Amino acid sequence: MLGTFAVGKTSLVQRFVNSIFSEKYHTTIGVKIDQKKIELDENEVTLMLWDIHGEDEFQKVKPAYILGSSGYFIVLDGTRRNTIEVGLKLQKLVENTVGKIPFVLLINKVDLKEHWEITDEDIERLKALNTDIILTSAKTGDAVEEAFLKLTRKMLK
Amino acid sequence: MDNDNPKNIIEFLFAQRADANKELLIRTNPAGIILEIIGNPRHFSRTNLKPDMPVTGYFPFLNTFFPVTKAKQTSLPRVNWEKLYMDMQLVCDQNLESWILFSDVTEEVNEVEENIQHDNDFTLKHNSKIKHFSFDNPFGDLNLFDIVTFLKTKEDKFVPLGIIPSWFEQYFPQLISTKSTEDLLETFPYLEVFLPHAKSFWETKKESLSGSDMWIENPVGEIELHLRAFATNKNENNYLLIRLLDHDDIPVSQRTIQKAREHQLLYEKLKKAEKKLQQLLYYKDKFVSIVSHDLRSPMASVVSIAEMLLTDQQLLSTMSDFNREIMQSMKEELLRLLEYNDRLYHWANLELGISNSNRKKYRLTS
Repeated sequence: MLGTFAVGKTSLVQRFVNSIFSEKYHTTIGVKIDQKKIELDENEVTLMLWDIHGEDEFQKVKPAYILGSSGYFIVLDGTRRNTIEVGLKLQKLVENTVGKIPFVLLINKVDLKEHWEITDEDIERLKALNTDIILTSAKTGDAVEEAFLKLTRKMLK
Repeated sequence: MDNDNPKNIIEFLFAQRADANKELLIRTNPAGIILEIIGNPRHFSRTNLKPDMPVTGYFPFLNTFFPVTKAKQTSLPRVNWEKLYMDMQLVCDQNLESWILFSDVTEEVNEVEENIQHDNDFTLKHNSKIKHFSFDNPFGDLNLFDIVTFLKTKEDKFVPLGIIPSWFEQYFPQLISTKSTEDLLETFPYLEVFLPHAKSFWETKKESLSGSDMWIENPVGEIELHLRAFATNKNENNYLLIRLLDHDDIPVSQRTIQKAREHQLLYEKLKKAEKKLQQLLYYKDKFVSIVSHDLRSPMASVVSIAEMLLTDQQLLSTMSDFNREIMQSMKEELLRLLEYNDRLYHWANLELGISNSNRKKYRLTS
């Protein structure tokens, strides 16, 4: 899970793994690793989910965290347009570290759509990344499972 | 080294250390019965060491090494025994006689402990339950600082040492025995990132510490443990330390970053609110500008009509004085209102950043 701080990386993992959501913002320091077993096309897949701290001036994502990953999410916060810039930077970091591996772009907080700063034009531009873009809500659970399944499928291809 | 020659063994073993007062060399037969004592036995044992007695009677931790079945040379893990920290070398020669060299390294260990405590600002805990694993910890009672110590073997196995801290015993009992790297990674996947760094550090043989970043484990339910790992070396052995961070130490940085990020989010919200407010102000100024502009013409027309009526002498002659005064007063009020409306219009335009300047020449001298 990659993205700047407070975009909802931890909340997305918690929604997917434990089906819970907390309104309270609790910043991730360091790395939190969760495991989730899923059934996919009659196969059992074990996902090791590395919830990496948000990137900002206080904490930088280290390439060592990315080595060995099979796929990743770039998470943006729809209500904060400036999260795009960090997301794109992290996507480049992954590509420079491990090359092209599957990823999905998540624009989180779709439950707050009326407050979104990320516009349809921005989303059109993000399509240049040539990957799936999914609008999610860790709060309501909208498209969260779909996103994880989509990435898993891409990783298994 | 020629293991057949006892003289060479003695020379070799004593050459390992400089201070003979803090060393002891014992020769035993294959069963571990003491044949010869060289050095300073009183420094190492409160009871008098005597020949013909089993060495394990004085040093029970040597039990697993007797009886000797083949010639070998072994550096034993550092032990803490009767208030001393000891390094030991065991050499079994071709006759299966053993030479055991004990070296007192207490001062060295104390110094390292002090350094570790200083470097990491550990907080002493008093609630750790005591659970010993098979080997003593060369760094002392690090369990008191909520640290679990592993010796990394050459085969990349991890052996827990000394007293196991209660948190580790409670949440990770599966690791309280010799484990492979894979076993360790299964419990702590984060170490996948740290172990390559640790490996490089172990190769340097430096006796300082190399630490990982913090990571979080949820061993059960909502229990959240913040951990850090450290690599260190001692006497050419490699050690991995895992430390549980608590409210007094780690989360200081966490709280700071949490606060900073909360402030950042608040700042972003304020910026957004300010932007919205600016937009509303713009709409208000635009509204005032348009309304005042559109009011100008009808008001000017009414003023013109009033002026026209007041210049019509025929009409005025038919009016009473009171009505004429009313008419005059109406015209003056309308002019004042028009001027006020003009000011409002210009002010709204200034707020919108639209300003027209009228240039006029004035003669300052007559």
